[in-house]
Amino acid sequence: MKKLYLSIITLCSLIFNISHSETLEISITEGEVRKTNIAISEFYSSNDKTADIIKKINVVMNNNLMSSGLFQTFDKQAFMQKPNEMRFRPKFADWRPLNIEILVTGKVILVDDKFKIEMYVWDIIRQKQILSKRYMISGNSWRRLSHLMSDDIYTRVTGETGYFDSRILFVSEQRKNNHRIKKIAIMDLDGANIKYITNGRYIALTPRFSPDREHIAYMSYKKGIPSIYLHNIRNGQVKFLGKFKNMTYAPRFSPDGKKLIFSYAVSGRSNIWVMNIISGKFTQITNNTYIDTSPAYSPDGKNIVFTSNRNGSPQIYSMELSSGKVKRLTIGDGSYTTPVVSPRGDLIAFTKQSNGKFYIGVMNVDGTGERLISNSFLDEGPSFSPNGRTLIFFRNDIELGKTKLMTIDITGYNLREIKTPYGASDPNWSSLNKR
Amino acid sequence: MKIKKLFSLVLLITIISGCFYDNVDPLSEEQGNLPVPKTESGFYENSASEVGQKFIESMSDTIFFKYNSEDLTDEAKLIIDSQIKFIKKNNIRKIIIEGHADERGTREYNLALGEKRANVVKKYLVSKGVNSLFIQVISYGKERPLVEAHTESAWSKNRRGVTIIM
Repeated sequence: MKKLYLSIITLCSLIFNISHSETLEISITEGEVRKTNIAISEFYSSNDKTADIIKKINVVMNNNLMSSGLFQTFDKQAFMQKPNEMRFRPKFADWRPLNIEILVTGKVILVDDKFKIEMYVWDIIRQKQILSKRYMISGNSWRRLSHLMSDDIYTRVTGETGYFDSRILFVSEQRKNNHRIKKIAIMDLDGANIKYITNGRYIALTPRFSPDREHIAYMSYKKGIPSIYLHNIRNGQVKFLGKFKNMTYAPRFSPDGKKLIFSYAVSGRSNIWVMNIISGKFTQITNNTYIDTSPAYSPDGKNIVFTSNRNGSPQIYSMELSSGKVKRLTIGDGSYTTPVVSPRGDLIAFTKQSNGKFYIGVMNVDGTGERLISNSFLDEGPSFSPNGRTLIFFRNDIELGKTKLMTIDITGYNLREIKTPYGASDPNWSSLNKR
Repeated sequence: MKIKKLFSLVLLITIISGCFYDNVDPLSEEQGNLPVPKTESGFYENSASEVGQKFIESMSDTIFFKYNSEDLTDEAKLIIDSQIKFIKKNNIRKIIIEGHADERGTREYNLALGEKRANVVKKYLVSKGVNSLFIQVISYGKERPLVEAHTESAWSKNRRGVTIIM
């Protein structure tokens, strides 16, 4: 079995009629995916000391694959065969009644203070092993290993690269004495391992990963005038991109990590600039009297997309960097902001605002084929998963009175919340961690 | 090979960065006190000098904007005119103009809009003879609403420019 094809049927499921001077219809497309039935057995071990870690790994793997929306997981109570009965090979017939298509088994062996883990993935229909992998970890990295194994299963079954071993940068929004404390925070995709990068004393916004995940660029009010800072994750060092007398904001890294593109606001005009992080040289990219902001590179680094109000309302434009040629991409009703290009280079995700609602949408890089995939009172700021398959964005839930992080498949399927301790906004999805 | 290249890049950044960055102390984890709003709607932390206090008590420090607009309304102009009178009479030499937006826009765009609004107020002050060197602008985008509600009336109060006398 090379690939298990996932049939995706796109449906127009929700149609909103908005009463206006004339009736305007905005449809949200909601994809539908046939899920693969997967049973993830707890791994076998002859040593009782491994029982705890085996349980924890199993929970994380089930949660990962279930949350992708491409798999249906099953409660182990329903399993016919126990881990020790499948040490060598499962009895395929026992898994048929549950309609299991894929079975995951494994072994854990304690070697000194390390765990040697073997994982096997079985195709129940064709009755054969389709993946066998070995890993060696120390006890405290069981969570990371669970993500790596989930990625290996996802990749083998769907044919696309997994993304569970990645991290999310965001702004944590905590309420305290009627103030909103906004801190830059980082966590695993499943919400575990939250760490705070800034201390909340000053507003800090729009954090973005460098492509190698070693640095974070963000904007902070620390020195009075809002400015961009570069934070080294490894040593905690913070650099201030000085030299600017006025506000610099909306930073994003170039795909090679050597440049930072951002907006610089002077006298009510916002233009796009690029800083070479290595040489410290600044280059001005746009020069007009309007608002040009939210710049982002294409994965090949040759083009940028950005938001501009040069023709009235905010719309999305692209620019070929070598020629400086600018093209307007959006022409629809309402305003279009926060464009980002998929790591695959084939789609642009954006925020659309129209008739009092906010939408997350995707379109082709030439601006055609617009599809809106989510909407609410406020949905904002999409960021692509490393494989370009899923988006993360934030939603202001006005009933709960907090902002929260949501993920959704680019087809509009599988909308989910990623739980965070406080409100959360401005999510930015990392590339995959290094193996 | 790749790691070596990366390492030399990081090293290079470290060396060069010393030349042109201002170094900032690594952030401590201690919880700081947030600036307390001392004006009617502004948040600037060093505000409320004696004269600044007198300014707030004697007139409105805040003007409001229409949706997605940075144009000064006639009403706004009247308010700024009285602010200018105060600035000139008291020989004020440090003024901060805050620009704010409502929540009906994306974060980065609203930062730009707030900056545009603050500059419109600044330009008006300068056109009436206030020295531009005395004025600093700062945009808070949609980060600091005056009224935390999700209604037209709240939004109209959050689209604002605030004058702070230091």
